[in-house]
Amino acid sequence: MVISRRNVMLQGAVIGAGVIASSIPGMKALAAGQPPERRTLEGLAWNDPIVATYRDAVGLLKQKSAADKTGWAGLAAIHGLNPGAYKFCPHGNWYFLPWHRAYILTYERIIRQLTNNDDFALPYWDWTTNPTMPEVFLDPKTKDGKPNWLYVDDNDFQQDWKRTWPATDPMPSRFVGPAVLQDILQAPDYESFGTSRPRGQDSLDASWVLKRTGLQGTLERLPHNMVHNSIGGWMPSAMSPRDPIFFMHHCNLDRLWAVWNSLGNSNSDDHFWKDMTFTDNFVNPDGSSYSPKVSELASPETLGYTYGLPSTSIVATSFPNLIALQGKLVTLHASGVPKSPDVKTFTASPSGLDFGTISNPLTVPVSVDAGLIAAVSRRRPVSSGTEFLNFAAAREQRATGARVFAFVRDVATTQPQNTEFRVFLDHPGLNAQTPVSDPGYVGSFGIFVHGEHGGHGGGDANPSFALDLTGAMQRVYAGGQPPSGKIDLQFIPVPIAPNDPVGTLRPGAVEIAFVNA
Amino acid sequence: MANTRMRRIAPVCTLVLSFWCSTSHAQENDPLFATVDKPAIITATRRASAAPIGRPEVIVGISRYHPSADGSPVEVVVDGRVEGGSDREIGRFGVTPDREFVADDPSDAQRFRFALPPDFAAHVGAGEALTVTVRLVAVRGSGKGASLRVADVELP
Repeated sequence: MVISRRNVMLQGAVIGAGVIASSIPGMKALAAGQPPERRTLEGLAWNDPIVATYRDAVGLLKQKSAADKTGWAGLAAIHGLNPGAYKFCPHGNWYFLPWHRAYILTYERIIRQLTNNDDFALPYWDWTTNPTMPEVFLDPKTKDGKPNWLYVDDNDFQQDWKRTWPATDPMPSRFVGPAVLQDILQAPDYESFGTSRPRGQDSLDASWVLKRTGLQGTLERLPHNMVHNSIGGWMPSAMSPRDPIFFMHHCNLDRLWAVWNSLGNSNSDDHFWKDMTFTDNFVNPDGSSYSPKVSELASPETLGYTYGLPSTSIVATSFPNLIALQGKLVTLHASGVPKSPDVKTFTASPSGLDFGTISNPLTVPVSVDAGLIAAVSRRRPVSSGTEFLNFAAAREQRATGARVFAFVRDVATTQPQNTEFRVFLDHPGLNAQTPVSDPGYVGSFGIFVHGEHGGHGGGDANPSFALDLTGAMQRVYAGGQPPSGKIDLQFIPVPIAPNDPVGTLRPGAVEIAFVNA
Repeated sequence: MANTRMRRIAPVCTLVLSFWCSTSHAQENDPLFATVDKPAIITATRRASAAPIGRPEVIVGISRYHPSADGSPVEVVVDGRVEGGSDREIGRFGVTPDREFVADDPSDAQRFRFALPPDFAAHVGAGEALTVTVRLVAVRGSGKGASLRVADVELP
């Protein structure tokens, strides 16, 4: 091996961090005090450097020979011997989390070296906040016409491998939703959180790592197992690492372990857990063995990456952005424009007298500043679970930066008692079947009908609604298409019950407000 | 020659078919066996000698699992019922990898842990039986061909 300046630095950093490994790239940032941060895929465009680096690296790894143990097939063989049989990887016991932490770390280090990018950190798929499959994995070609190595269409083991989960369907919330997340993070001890010891374990013999007789808690039995099984293709098999989305799924599980620890929960102190060594299970970027002990895998930061989790000890009064945003929104709700350089509003009204119907949705084009759209689509999302660490800090993070709201005023309707009114952003083929899981879905509103009134022609003033457009704008423009100076806000009425007569709607005006806090 | 071969194969086929039929019939009548059309139903009672309940929970062990014929995903739903009550969901799980799994030794069963709702825990703590229903439910597709066998249900 050539001894470079970088390698010398890396060796020093690694030893300084107390990690027994060699030739580990990516520790330069750690030596400087801040390891690379693993980020959510939400809001990352196809050509974002994180996504592009991962895609390029997967391509390089896939083009290596199947016999190369640092190639795509060779690394997957660490996990499974074939689609039906695991090799080293533990499931259904308490080594599940640390083993997979070391496994995805193996890839992260190899990718850093392969791409000569020491700042690279794997992104994660936060399926709680973004339950649909990340868009950057779904098309065979990238937007500039090159092969998308994150797409799966393989033939191996005498069969074809393709994902089967529909691109626009969210993972069911009963597998990945907020209630599941809450249940996971409330686990009182490590063995409830990360699966318990295999039944009867009485030694540190390596055979215990493969015993699947521990008690699977919510983390493993629901989001882990059901996301694997639902995606289809390689993912339900023991060769699941052949699908590049495996690492984004496991990265999120790894993140949730870090969140649970950050809540003040301790890992097991049991000798049979912390002193187990995964001997010769993994490889370093140079092909040598990486054999970490479980106790060496407890902290992401000592391994050369971080999730940038907020501190649990921030004083709850220091949230200036949240306070500023609240002040600006109070004025906006009152139909006034705040005299602040941090607020820009753009107004439009529907043309003509047409109402939006189920077969002919109403589109209201609004001319806006393209630079403001770009600022919103670049803002940093808040990942699930951070509110458990510090609810006020998570709210502050959500309030920080560029946000955008729609004020839909004076909405005239018919049949409001039977109708849900859905709002979408820039959807080219919007119809009644467009699901609420669509990236362009903004939200819905209904109208409480009291007495004989309701609908245009009723005696009451028509209602108005405020909708947060920030998430939809980030999702719509995460694809990387440059925003124009116009957005389309779209309205479609759908029946609440399948056979109900469906109503119509027409807003008097639409205000788009960009707020910077 | 073909007839000779047929005469030799026929008894073997008959034997295999009758074994398959009897196995299939036995599975249908096995209360621990579940498919998308038939749940497994087990009644469990907490041992009188068991330690006082700390975090009330139920553990479901699976000794056999077979994925759906077309590979479409299935989930397993665990319901509970105490005497005089109705079925209520306790939790869900999936089996990964989604491949055939057989534990010949019951101690090798895959085990899944669920917190018991407080009212169930009170009944169980008082020594009453908990009836556990384990259902296979298709996540997508029909789920036909998927099956599992419950090894045991524990109330620790």
